[in-house]
Amino acid sequence: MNASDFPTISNKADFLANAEIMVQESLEQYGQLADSMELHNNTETAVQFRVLESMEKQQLEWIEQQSSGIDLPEIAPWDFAWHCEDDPTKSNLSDMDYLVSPARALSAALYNEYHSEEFYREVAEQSSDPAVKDLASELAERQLKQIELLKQRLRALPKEGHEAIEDMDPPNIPE
Amino acid sequence: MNEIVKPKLKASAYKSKLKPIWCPGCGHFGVLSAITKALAYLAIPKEKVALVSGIGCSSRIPAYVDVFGFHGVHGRALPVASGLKAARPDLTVLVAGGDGDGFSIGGNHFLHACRRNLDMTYIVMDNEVYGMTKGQASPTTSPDWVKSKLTPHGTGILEFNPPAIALASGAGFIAKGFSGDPNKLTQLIVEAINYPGFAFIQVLSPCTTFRPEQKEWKQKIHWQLRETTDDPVEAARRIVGSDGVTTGILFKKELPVMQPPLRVSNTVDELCQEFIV
Repeated sequence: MNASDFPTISNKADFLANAEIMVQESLEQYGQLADSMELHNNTETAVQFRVLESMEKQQLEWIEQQSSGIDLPEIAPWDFAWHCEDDPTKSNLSDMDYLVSPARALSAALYNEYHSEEFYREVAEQSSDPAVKDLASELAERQLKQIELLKQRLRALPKEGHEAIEDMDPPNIPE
Repeated sequence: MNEIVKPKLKASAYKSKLKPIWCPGCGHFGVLSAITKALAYLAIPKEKVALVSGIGCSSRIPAYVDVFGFHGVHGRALPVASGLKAARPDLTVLVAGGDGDGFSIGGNHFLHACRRNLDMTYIVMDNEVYGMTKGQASPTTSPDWVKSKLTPHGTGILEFNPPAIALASGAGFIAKGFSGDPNKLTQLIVEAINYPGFAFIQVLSPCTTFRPEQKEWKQKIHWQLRETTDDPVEAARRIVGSDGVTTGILFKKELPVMQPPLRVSNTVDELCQEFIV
């Protein structure tokens, strides 16, 4: 699908509805990954996903505050107005497995967060509605701060945080 | 008195409180997301949906969806669901399972569910492996996959082509989706539920633990460019000639739906009488 094929965002309610769904999905995805990493004893990586989940929760609460009193339109899942080349819902978070290192988890999340920032930035640039422009710019700024925090976490990881977790009893041992 | 209108539920409201025990990165998370989004989009009341499954990693899904669920016997999800739909036509019946459960253990039921054409939706989460039993070749595994201890030289057996089998068996709605694109998959599930008859969706759903190479599916899988056909000959040509990673509704044609007439009512005593020889 080309960017021109995506439905356009016509007003503040449209934008907030799209942003809310996008953040809600990220929140759920990070939460699920934290849960499943914990379940598979990859606690170091689970911690990173838990932090990401908490960041998204704050972002969602902020969007919900902005949406207060506004009747948000219902959007069919396949009609989300992503303007990026890559759909954030098809992010490389699907590349995760139980051996993923904290650094790889954060890198994948960064990729995801950059796409969200790109989405907000494009809406801010392309919209003719001042209210949408302001809101999208502010969300892009908030997103950039989140990206900076993630970069700091990535830099702060000890050296072993960058290596894949080793499984002493891997599921597939080719003969 | 005014009728009480229930507020429309969000997709998250269709998820149960149980946390999935699937591996991190498992494609089945995407299918769970798509099913709940489809139910929310269609605003189907929870008490009007039943999700029936067999056995396997994917068949755990009824536990994670907050609707009526039946985690059944290996390969027997379709017969259970068929009985349910025959007795309760008012329910939206969804059937879910994996490639082993649906095409091997339950292969025979798959054929007959296709031709019987009861109004229900069958979602097969196909990862080309038996994951729950630690990674053996399934009916959809390619013949040269050598990573299983049971088949160290590959199975050497041509893989099953589920859409082709479904078409040959008389299914009127055949689709292929990808768990890595849950929003498009939601659209397929919505269309399948709205289709009057047996709707089959083969969902390519990577197993990141036993088939880590399936992470590359994301780069290969694409949406079909052609319009859906209602011509079975054309559909057969497309399905057999397909690259295997083309998603979309591959065939759709309305066919007579099987729905046995409901008997007025049976008491337990009346039912017992029928079993007395």
